[in-house]
Amino acid sequence: MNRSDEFAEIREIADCVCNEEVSPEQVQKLEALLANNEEAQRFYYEYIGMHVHMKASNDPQMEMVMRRTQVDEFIVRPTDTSNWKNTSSDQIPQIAGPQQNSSKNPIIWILATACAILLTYILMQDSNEYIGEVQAGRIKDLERHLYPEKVQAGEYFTETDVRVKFKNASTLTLSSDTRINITTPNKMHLEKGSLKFIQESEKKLNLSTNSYKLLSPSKSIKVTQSSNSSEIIVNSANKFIPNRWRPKHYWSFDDTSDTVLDSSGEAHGILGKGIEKVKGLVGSGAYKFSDEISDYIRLGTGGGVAPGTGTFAVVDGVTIEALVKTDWDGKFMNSDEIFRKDHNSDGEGDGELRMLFCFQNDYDKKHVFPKDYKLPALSFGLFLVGQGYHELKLPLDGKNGRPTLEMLKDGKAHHLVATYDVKTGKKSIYIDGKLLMFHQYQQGTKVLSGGPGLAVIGNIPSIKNEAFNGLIDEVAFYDFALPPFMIEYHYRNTQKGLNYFGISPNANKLPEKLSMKLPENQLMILDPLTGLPDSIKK
Amino acid sequence: MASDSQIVKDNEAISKTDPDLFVSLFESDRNRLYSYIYAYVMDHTAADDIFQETSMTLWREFAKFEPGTNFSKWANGIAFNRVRVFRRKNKKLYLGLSEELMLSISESISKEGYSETRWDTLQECRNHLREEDQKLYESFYVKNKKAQEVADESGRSIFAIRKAVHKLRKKLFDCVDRKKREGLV
Repeated sequence: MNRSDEFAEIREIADCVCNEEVSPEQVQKLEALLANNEEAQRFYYEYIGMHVHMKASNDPQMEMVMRRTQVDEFIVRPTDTSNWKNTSSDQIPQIAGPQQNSSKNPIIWILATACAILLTYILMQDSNEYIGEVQAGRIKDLERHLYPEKVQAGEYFTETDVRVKFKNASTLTLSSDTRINITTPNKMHLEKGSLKFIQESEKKLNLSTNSYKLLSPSKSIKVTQSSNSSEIIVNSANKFIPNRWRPKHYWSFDDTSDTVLDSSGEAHGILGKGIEKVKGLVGSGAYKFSDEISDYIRLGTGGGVAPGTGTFAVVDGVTIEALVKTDWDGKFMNSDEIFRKDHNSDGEGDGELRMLFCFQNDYDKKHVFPKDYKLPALSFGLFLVGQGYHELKLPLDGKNGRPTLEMLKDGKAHHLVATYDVKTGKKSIYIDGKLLMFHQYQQGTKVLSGGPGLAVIGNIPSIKNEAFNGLIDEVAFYDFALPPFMIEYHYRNTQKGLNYFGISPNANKLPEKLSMKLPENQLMILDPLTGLPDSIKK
Repeated sequence: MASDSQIVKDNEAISKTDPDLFVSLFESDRNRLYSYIYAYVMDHTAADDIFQETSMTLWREFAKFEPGTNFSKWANGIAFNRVRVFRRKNKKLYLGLSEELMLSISESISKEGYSETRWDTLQECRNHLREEDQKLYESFYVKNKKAQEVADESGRSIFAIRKAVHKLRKKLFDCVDRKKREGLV
């Protein structure tokens, strides 16, 4: 049996396909007939192939032309129209193709005219999709693999500096080596590189990068984004939404339950016997600690079972933040713990994989910076891979802008922050929004943290001489280093009676998104990891 | 997604591409490539657009093609992607085979192998057609007339003309198949 008889049903539909008269029902039937039948699929393909071949063998001779101008083009077109010959053929090197014939067949003219009309129609259709045009430079359309003169929605890469004028008259200037996804003239995602946007419409620009989003009606916006650096300058009101800002754990102490609510994670605290709920330094509640062994809040292990596990384990860095009113006596060999997390589960601490932020006056430690410092200090200890347990001391000596202990005991709340950034290797301590002490480790030095040991606020349950004396409020634990601008921003918010994030104090869970406003007309350096503002470039 | 260095590398490679090699491979494969596209989209206007896009992409990507490997298979992959992109952008093009079936057909034809040389015998088969069929072929495939035009000229109904064209295709297809079986292709 001939294949055409074997697959008669397919052939009938294929005939309709050849005639361009196929119906949706026939296509559906064809799908069913071809499904899981390789022979049938080959027959259909070859039958269509024969039709195309017979049609093509009598089509006008075609030539292929390669033009190398600003972009490469590949064109298949009829060869026997004098019209083509007249288009400055000396500028169009013909690289191949059959010999041109000189016939003046009117059918060819009609065909060429029809093609031109069709092309014009297609271009007019396409032009509706264009949102702007390239005024200068070379931009690559990454989806279509073209170097277009007109820009439509899509992903682009610049090989030179590029200027695009949008239909709404706004202008986008991109530096070379920029990758950007343009959705509309007012919505774009900058993957990497630099852009300058001059806004001529009344709409807000919706700009995103991998680390933040910005909504702004600003008339001028400049942005640079890479894995190592991020900068932005906006000249008017804006709504800035960083991707990563939320602490891993946050205890505002404003809840009224028997436990201590974690408003960001699940490390809800259990109160020790001795501590007392008092009016908050911010918000409704804080806890008063009285230098007793039972004055602690147990926060649990964060689910850690081994080093590097649990919610207190960090990869990119760490920040411990608290509002404190201290009554520490500053005596030799006395400490007041604000936050502590040990590795061991026996409650004794192991002196190694420890994370500790406290007031401290001790000596004779091997791994302390500044070396041999023996007076009252604010201390931040971490276990760093390749270094061991290291403490950074902020001497409370009244020198170089640092406060004395007496200055901290002025009866007011003070904002204390300890950070470590793995990428930069910088360990820092801030008081009231100001960086007052730091130590530089080798960049990329990791923290060994987490594990089955207890995290506590105020004291480790078994140690008497490290119990805190005073008020603690608004404790937050982050798995990244808060940048300096944000620490000052948090401090300023507390001075306005708000929580760190500029929200009226409450006991609710923190929102998933946080928006803030960037300063206008200032070149803002952003942290490329989190998208958080880092500092203002002078 | 290609890295920046990859893009730069591609651009450098393009400048070294051998246009003569491309033209010879493309020229011998373009009818087959058009059939491949048309078999899926079933619409000449769409197929023309996709074919043009595919041709351009083939040229731009030709630096990645390894001479000595199967050009048709490589071109099919690019055409397949262009069909998918075209369909996503042109929701009006509701006809055509599903992507799943497109993939299946691609695999079927790549297993068996497919050569345009099978159509070399078409002229010979055409010569063996009856005079009436010769005229029909002339009208449809040489003069590019529509069925209605042929019906008007011949005084037959359009249905009769369509049926005759279908028979003509069948005869030619069977003839080519027979010659292939006889080892003449």
